[in-house]
Amino acid sequence: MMYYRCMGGRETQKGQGIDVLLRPELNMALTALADVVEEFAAQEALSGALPINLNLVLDELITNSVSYALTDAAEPVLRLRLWRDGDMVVAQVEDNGAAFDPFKEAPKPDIEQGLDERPIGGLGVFLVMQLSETAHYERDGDTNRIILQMRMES
Amino acid sequence: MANQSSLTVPSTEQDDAVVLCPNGRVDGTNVTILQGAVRERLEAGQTRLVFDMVDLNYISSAGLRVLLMAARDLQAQGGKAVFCNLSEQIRQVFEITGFDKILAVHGNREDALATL
Repeated sequence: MMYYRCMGGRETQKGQGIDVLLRPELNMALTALADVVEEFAAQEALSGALPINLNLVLDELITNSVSYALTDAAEPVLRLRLWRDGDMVVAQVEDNGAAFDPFKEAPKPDIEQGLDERPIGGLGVFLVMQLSETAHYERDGDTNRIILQMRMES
Repeated sequence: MANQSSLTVPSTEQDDAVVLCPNGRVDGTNVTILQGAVRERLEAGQTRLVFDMVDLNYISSAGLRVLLMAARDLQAQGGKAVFCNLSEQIRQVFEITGFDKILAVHGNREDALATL
């Protein structure tokens, strides 16, 4: 599989989805992510807030992968798949780093707390859970896998 | 490949306050730029800050953390941070995270400045 490169005006077919490797470095991964989401949004004619929300949840998950799971990996691999299933967009993020379940590790923010009490962490995973219809983690051999669904606007 | 993560933070001084106008996208790759712009003002003793978000079209949790810490640091120094002109995406993440309740958010810059 190839690393993702934005081809610019590439003819992609509706329904085929996107399956790419991202370079496991934050800057390159997030820059490529924005291009992947833009391409997928065009492919599936995603509208409204969905493209930017999809970018946001994947940004949070990829940032976690690169910053936590993959830091000690000898040959880090970061893979992103996007496809459509009925009225759902399905996204899958995989890395080969140390076992890391962001939904379990992250503190759950209490959004009723005031300015001084609010902990600084946990916001990213909280956003992922709030913006996704479903989101779950699984460890499969050497792979961390997160699969999430977001509903398309009718 | 477009540089999607570009961020600049132009600022102006207005009515004894500093208006920071972050432009572009803020995520984990460039959040130190925003952090640096805030720190620079704090170190100069300027503690009345308006974050005019009119030109900011994307923010991740990395950026939210910097805004939360800025509001906290300013308050600790007897100052204040106020926010205005939120895009739809930023308004939504403020609502989901409850930031709209703990940060001072206003519709436009004039209203924001008036509360400082």
